[in-house]
Amino acid sequence: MDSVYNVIELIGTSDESWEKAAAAAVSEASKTLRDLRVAAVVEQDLLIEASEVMLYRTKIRLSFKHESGE
Amino acid sequence: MLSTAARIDKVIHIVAASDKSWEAAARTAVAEAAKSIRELTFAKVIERDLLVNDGLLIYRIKLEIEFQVDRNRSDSAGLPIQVRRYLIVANQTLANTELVSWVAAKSSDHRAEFHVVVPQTAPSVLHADPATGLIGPAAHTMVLESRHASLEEGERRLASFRHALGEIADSVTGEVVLSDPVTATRVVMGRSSFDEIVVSVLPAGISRWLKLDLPSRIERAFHLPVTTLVERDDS
Repeated sequence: MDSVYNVIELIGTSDESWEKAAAAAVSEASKTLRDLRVAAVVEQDLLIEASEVMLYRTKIRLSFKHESGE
Repeated sequence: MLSTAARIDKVIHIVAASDKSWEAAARTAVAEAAKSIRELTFAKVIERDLLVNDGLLIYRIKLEIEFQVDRNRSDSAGLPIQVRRYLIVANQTLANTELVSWVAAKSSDHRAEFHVVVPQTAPSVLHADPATGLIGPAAHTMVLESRHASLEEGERRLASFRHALGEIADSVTGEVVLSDPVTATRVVMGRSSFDEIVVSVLPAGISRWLKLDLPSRIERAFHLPVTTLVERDDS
């Protein structure tokens, strides 16, 4: 049977690491989405203040099955 | 024609490595880039990889950084102004008050920005033992220690120079480069842009840089106006 998936992108932040930034985004998404399986890391960057790294940011792409409500 | 509100940015890539994590490598890269770039607020990760060296992992990260290269700034009232950017090549003369007064005079109308490069000579080549053709661990340690000492010496000079500048230090960035003066200048020119280079030297009789004709060599290499500040000989 054919399936359709929704795709969304989220950005998580952490002052410690990109891993924690990704985890923050996934845990936020899992509050509202069921059956999350794979999160792909799309982009990582840094916010800098006064010559130091202030925030690690990770953008993740999540896909989940589209439910038509039947 | 560019209006005064126009802005031109330069994009550079920086690669840094750490034996701990990509985050640590990124922090090193940011600290290094911030030495010569004002208002650095954002860096994008372009690539990450791992080197395996004798079972030891080296985390490498490549960052993309953008920074303003034009001379358009705003003054304290928010009105557009143009600044002139000076690259100061100095080492021993950083301890002298003459360079401090020169910078103070140039920055009196807040239309100048300065970057100080401190070239420090340090051994970079490891010499092998002619008998065995090997490089002993003791020689390696000695080279590392010598480089570290040169770096610290340069940082100390830079710190006391900034201290002597007082409030003006805000318009001054600086860094130590373990290299000869021409190479050090090339390193800095590669990631920033300037309108004029200032070579600060010891009095004519004792300056090694003058004997090497460093000001002309820098002028020929970078095609920028070069000002030579010769320290007064008070002795």
